[in-house]
Amino acid sequence: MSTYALRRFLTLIPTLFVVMTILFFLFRLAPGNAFDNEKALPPEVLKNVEKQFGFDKPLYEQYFVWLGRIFTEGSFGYSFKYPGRTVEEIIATTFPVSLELGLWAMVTALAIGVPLGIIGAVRQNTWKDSLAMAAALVGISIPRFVVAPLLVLLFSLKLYLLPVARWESWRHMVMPVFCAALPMAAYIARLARAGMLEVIRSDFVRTARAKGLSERKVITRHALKGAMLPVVSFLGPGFAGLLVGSLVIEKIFDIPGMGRYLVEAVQNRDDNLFLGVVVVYAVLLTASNAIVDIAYKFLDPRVELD
Amino acid sequence: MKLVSSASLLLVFCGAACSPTACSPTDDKSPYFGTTERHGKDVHTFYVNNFSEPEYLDPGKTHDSSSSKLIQHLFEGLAAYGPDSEPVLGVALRYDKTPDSTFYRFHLRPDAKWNDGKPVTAHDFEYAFKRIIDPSTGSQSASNLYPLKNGELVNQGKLKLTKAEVVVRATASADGAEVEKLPKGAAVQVLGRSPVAVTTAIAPFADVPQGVEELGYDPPDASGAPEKLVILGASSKDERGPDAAKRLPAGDYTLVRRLGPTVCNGDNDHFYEVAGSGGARGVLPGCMLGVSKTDKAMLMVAKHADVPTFEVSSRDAPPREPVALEPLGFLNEAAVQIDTSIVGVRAVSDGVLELELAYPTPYLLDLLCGANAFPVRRDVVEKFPDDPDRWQRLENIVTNGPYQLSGWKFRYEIRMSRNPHHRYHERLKIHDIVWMSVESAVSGMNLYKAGELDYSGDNGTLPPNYIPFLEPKKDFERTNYIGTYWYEYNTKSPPLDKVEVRKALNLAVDKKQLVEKVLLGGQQPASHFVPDFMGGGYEAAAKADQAQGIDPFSGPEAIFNPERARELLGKAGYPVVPDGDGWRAEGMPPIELLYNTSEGHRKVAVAIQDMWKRHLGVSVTLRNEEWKVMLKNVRDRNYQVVRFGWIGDYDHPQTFMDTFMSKSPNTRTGWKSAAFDALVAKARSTGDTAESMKLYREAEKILVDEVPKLPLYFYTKVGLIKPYVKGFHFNRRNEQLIHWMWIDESWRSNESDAPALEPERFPPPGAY
Repeated sequence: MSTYALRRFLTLIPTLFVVMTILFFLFRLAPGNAFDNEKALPPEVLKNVEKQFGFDKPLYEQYFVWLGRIFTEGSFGYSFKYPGRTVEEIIATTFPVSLELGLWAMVTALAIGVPLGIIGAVRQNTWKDSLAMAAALVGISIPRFVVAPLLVLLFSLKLYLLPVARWESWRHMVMPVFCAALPMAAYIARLARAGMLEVIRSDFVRTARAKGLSERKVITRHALKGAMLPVVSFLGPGFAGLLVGSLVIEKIFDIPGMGRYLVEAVQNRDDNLFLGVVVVYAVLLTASNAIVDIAYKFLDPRVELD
Repeated sequence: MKLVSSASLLLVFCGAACSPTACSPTDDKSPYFGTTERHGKDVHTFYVNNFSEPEYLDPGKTHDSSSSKLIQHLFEGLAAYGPDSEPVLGVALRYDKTPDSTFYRFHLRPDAKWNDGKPVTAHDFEYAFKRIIDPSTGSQSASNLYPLKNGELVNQGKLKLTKAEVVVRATASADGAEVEKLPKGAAVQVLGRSPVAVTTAIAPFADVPQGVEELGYDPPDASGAPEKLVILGASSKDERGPDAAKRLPAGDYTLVRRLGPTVCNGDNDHFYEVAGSGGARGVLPGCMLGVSKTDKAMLMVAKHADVPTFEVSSRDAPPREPVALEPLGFLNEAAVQIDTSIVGVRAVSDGVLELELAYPTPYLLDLLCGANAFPVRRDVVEKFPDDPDRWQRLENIVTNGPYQLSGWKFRYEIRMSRNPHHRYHERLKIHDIVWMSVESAVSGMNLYKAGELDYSGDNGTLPPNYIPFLEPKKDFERTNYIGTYWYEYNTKSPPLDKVEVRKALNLAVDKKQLVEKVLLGGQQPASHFVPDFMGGGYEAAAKADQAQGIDPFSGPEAIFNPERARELLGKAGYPVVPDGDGWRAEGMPPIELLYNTSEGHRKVAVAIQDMWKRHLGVSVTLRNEEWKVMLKNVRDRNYQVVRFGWIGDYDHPQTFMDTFMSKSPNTRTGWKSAAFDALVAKARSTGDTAESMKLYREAEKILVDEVPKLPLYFYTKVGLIKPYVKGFHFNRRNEQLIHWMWIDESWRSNESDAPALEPERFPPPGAY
């Protein structure tokens, strides 16, 4: 078990290395650079600015300097757009915010999605099922940038119940967390329903029923664990998606998270920041997939970890 | 400009799915937008949106509006923006100047202090100014201090001083014949560096080519496109590609001589004769010569006699025309260095600062109100030699403005409190400022509506499709803003090389309709380049012309006139003939219109595309690119018509005219006019304001006749400000500084809108 986990995590290293290398060169070869501004700079000044960020060296040398700094100093270097701030410093202040938003959104999504899916499966083909699945369809189809302003309009500007935006107290978190959770909850509901439908037709559930257990006990004690398998395997990429996809939510609710840098850093040609953020996401995505694989073992005794 | 597409989509959605009137809360009938109550907030704290995270809080390096706005509150220059943006007393109490505005002497107040209690002296200003000019600082705003004598040359690395006595030689070799000995500290202008690297496969000229007006050189690029040299004559165009048989062998070459001047890729340049070690020789323009990697180089230099003396008598009047520099000879590169001591600023004592300027600068006081002219202290700035930007962090920064930094949450908010050592300390009515960095226009507006913001902010924007709804509200404000939105032509790209075509395209744009139907922000349609309401005497000149009916920018040759446009296009060889319901320009190739990705720019481009099709029958393809990519393509002249604009750096027409000057780094159109350059130079050196403005407008007439750019509209700025905020005066510089404001809880009964502090105007200048 632990050797599997160790091996699983060790394989991440070459993956990350390849991702970083490809992105580094792709980024540097893209047209335009961070120091291109509307007002042209005198060459002498440009030379000094480029020197400050190591752009005066040949590309392969810049690559090794960059890589070397990550492994020896654990640093991605300075952001080009926010001088005097290192990339890791920016990540350290913004990532916890995204994480907080993402975790709460995931908890909310599970709390909404799992019961909805179970009801759908247990009451298959009844109006309850139809309603739950219709709600899920709506949740998946309506984008967040539509839901968010509607919520703001209703709860903040009409009813004056919640703050319009910003990131201060739990009241500020309600709407963004809900918005972020909505599509994920819908997804989870559909997966939970499918998983449950499969499990309740299996032999061991029939056995449980035959023993005379109440339906509630059959579902919660026996079926639930197996029915959660598809949900769990979705949680890994789903959580990473929540963090990456928080860009829209962060903009609308003015939340100082990390989601926006993935897009902004490209626009600003802030190479260091972009690469730093991508590495964090790559680690997150690969690691959460690995964790999901390991979690499988606990949920399904039939799974062999090898 | 910075809003990502998701945010724009949001705007579109909100506009479409829920028009403001249908979805706004029940207080629609209120004369104000949102609440006018302040819940649980004290009257001494002001909440404002600053739009985005500042890049630099360093006055020397700031080049974006969000940073500059914060610096305006944290630091104080010799002069400062008053409530109406007219200069008021800053650290200086009075000044002397010469009548032609080339020498200035500032007398500093003796009690000015940094927020750590140390006095602010003239030396801090001298240090700050020289630091910006020094290219090793890497400031992207140094051009704002180019009026200082020699500032431009030093910043561009073209003016250096000898470190010790040095021998100038006739050739670029250590044993060349001695031409002259220069003493230590002699000023030389760098004309070239030798050796130079030759990598081109294009055959060199045998001698300076005759009849060449301009060269365009594309080096071979990574995608495999071969290099190319375009030689433009008065009426000819000649393209040359690589020629392996006649090329110079690649390698390092010695500069032999500098030959005649030319223009290459838009820059002033010269031809050089180069010689290789194997006896190979040839003539190439400077733009085709690479930088040799060797660190033992010789510089081709000329003597530079024009050093600041700060003595009016030393200067021969009238100001000299710049003379073409003759090369003196070569000297060792290691023998000279950048030295800002030759720049025209000096502290005579702790309390007196003198400036000697390169040219008459009547708008100097206005420049000195800008963030780049604020003082910084050497011991503070140089405390972190390994990380030159660390000093501006909350824990390190030392400032001299009315406020000091008291909190900084990255990408979220910045807090300021009063500077206890500033003279305003007791009198300020706003004690703390909270600057939020809300980038979404809709979120900013919502925060204002809910009462979280007192003012939508100088850098904030309002969503355009809400403006018709917001306009009638009493807390909605609008002002003219010194900026012009324009399209730039690539005047080297056919058919736009024909002035008739450029003019026809201009006259076929109905700018009034563009402003009223598309932009909705109350902008003014522009038929010329300097906004009518520009300061420095321009506004008065424009009004006088209009009153007399001789405004050169309102006739049928300047404003929307589709008939004349069709006639002009016909003259250019593309007759416009009726075609069905519309028109067709025969033989006219489609025009490509480039803009940076943004919903606002797209709307304008689509409208123009439609107007050109409708009135001229010209097809237009739209191309949108991400900002940085677009900048690169424009610099490489890979465009036909491109969207740009200009916000004035200072309140004087020169800031706009500068962008058209032949030598300006901001001219991208390829258009040049000696007559225009001469008129602007004359206008700038004319002391009499009315006469000077007349010359500026004459020069501008040349622009309107030759149309290197297509002016679309003059900017406006819109904002929301709560009725309880007093002392707010929306002005054309968009500098509404918070220390002039106050919060009036009895605003419903109190009519007074006076600034929180009495602005102190400068006394009339004394004689220098």
